[in-house]
Amino acid sequence: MNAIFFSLLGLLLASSTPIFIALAGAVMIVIWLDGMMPMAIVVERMFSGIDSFALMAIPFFILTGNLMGVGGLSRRIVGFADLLVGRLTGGLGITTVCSCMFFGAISGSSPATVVAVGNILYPALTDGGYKRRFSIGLIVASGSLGIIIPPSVVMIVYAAVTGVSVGALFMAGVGAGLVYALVFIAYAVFHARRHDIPRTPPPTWGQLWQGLKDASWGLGVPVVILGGIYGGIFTPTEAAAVSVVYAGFVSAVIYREKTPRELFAAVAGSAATTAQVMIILSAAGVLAWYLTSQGLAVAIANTILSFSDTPTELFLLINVAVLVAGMFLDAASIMVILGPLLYKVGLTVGIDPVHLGVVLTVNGAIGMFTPPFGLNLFVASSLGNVTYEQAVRGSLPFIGLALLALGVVTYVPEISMWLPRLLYAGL
Amino acid sequence: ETVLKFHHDLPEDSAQHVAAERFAELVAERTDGEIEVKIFPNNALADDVQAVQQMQFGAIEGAIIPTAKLSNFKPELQLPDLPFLFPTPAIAHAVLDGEVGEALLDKLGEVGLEGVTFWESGFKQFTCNNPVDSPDDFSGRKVRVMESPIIISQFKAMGATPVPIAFSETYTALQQRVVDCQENPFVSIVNMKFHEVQSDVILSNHAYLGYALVFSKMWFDKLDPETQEILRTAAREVTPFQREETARREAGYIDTINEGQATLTELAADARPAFEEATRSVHDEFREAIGGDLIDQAYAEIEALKGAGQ
Amino acid sequence: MFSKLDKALAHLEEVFIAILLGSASVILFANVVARYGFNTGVVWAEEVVRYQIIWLVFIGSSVAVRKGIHIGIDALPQVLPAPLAHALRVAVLCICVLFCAALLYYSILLVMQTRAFGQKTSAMQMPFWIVQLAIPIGAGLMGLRFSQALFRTLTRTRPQAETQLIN
Ligand code: NA
Ligand code: NA
Repeated sequence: MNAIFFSLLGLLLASSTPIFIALAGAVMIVIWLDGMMPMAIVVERMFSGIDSFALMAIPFFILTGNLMGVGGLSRRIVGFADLLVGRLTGGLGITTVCSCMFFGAISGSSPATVVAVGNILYPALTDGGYKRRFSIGLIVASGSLGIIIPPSVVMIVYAAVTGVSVGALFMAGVGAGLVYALVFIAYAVFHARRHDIPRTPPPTWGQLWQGLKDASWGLGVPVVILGGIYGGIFTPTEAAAVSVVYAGFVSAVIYREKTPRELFAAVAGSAATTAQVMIILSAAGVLAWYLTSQGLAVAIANTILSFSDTPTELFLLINVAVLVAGMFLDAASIMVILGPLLYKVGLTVGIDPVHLGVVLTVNGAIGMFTPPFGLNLFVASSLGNVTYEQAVRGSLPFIGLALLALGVVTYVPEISMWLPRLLYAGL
Repeated sequence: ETVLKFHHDLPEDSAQHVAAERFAELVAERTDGEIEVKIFPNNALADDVQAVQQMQFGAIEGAIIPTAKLSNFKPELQLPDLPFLFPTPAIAHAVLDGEVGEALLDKLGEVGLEGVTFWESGFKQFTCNNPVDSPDDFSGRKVRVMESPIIISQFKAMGATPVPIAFSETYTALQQRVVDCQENPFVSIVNMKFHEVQSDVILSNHAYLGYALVFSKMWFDKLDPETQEILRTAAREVTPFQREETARREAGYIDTINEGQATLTELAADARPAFEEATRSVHDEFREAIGGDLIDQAYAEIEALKGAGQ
Repeated sequence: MFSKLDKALAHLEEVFIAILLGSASVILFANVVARYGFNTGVVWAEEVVRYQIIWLVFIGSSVAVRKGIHIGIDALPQVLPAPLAHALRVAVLCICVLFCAALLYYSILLVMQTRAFGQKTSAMQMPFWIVQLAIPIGAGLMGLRFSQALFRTLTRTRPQAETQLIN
């Protein structure tokens, strides 16, 4: 039956059936053929797959991103960023990565980061002379920083299933996130050098001041969000909603570049984008239930892990297994399904559970933009005139680079562990 | 061979999980491997409320579900959640193993569940960023709660602002001081490291967190009576072990908290009446939903047990 | 007449999901202000927003079908010769219609069961079956849109100009 299931899934996906129907439909057909469980499970999981408050950050960040774009905030921010680092080689690429780290520190989710940053910087990158393929790849890859830089929904899930300290994990994410970001920055500089992307002349003080004034309302978005979260005013999900109201206020009352009707159209458009992304999460809930209840994920992992018992080799096997899993599942589902098992295996061979958590998170982050199932790829294909295939092709070199960063994070534990060890005695 | 998928919401390192494993062994032994219990910890298949739904249509066969979560289906099940109801663990166990508990489990039949016995996470404790000696110490404070009417009402009664926050977001919310306090049993406080981001842990034993062990009625009714009896007996046999395990682990959790930064203080015996007084209104408010007769019967049994020196 | 009704429905769907998203933001924002500024607030905000977004997703999926923006891996139809690509599209749309029909049927059964067992939501204590109704309604609307697309593909008519609220 498992063979039938995987063939069906592959067939449906390849046939250009919408992904959510392929995921949920394959499970539906297998249940119907086998009669092993009630069909209601498909319906219940489709509902429950998106019944999570943490996921609600996704629509709000999509809407914030769109409002900032339509309302004129993004344009001013990019203008200012360009004034600041545009004169450097690969300046706009560096801005993209740094913005992703910035938005990553706002949101616990990766697709939300892609939307927030992509809406602003994708047009800017392509206008600035960066290749389209490179630009989209840079955005989907850097966007996955959202789950490595704290706060991180995926780390919270890992902590919940293993009992590892959330605080220590978050701190460990800082070092890992920096390595991950640096690799992309280096590539952006290389790309800019190879393609002779023009540098902007250094701005005058007057231009800088004017740019800062223009961008101040837009720069206020992260200030409001970060200040609110770290000032204890609201939770990360609430922060997303607050940023919507803020961006809406600036667009409608301060800048007034667009009519209320146009702003409403932006809301309707964001709602449709939300549905487009979250219906896949909904169907992924069905798939995750099937794999978990049939013990498939555990069986596959067990087989792989039976090959070795040294930490070095085991880490390699774990990374390969999670990478493969990440092609089909989202990072949170991987944590729920494989987290407890890998945690136990890791302990028996002396792998630090915090370090393991960070490695799994980084690997899960890569899964966000590995085909065929990669949330960032889907979200990116909702950005202006990008297709899923273009997003996939663009992401390929970045998958290689991210694997390099994953290797460093895996085999140099000090990078992630120094900060938590500093702050949490006894680790 | 039949598979019994068994859901619970805690990590594998918990009294519930080891008890579930013992239950699985007993069932395998007594049914000659005819029924295989597969445990799914950590909400791997669903969260508690969703798991009940899945049991109603037979996609999950068995589970332990916190009584507060069952109140979405049967309000009567909130009875064990009433603040300051049970004075000691022994009395809680006696009441839940007696007629009151039996009546509660019977109610579950009406919502597609076969209720068998009560397991537990033990009593809940407060954690805060300030010492708590009287109900006034909650006045004006923001307290993280789960979305349960009785718990929301409990904190309102003490003048606090209850803020529903998802369990997974609670650590960050406490760390960033979005909320000042929360309540949970020791197992969750230590597993989620809430004591790392709170200055005070108050050993308040203010309310009980019980789990009902239930089977999917749709599934259970199809089994032959002999197998049904094996399942019921095995679950009930494990109950005392599960509770001993809870007590044994609590001692360890207390050590862990004492090793950390937070101050662990026991709520003084002479401070309790003020709390009981302040939260009495919660008992009145939920009297109708739970059923007056049932509450009175519980009160009577508790008084009798107190008199008997338990 | 038919196309007028169709346009009205499409407009209604889009306005509905836009209002859901807009009001969800405002509810959470107002609750933050109430909590931080005035130390009060409602306990049902998180729950109502969660259910609003779930409704948005299922109704919005129908909008996404009409706009043809559901994400799929469409490399195959691009490399196939035109007649085969056409046949594949018909087959895929049939699968989609069947899926929606099945989802509609089984979700109605589930909603009826939930209603019979009387489950309430945690914070609002509202009947849960009403919340769950999002799935049959969404599945029905999606099924309708997929059927329209199937009909158009079979008769090879182009979709008519649509209300362009979204771009
Ligand atoms: Na983050
Ligand atoms: Na992937």
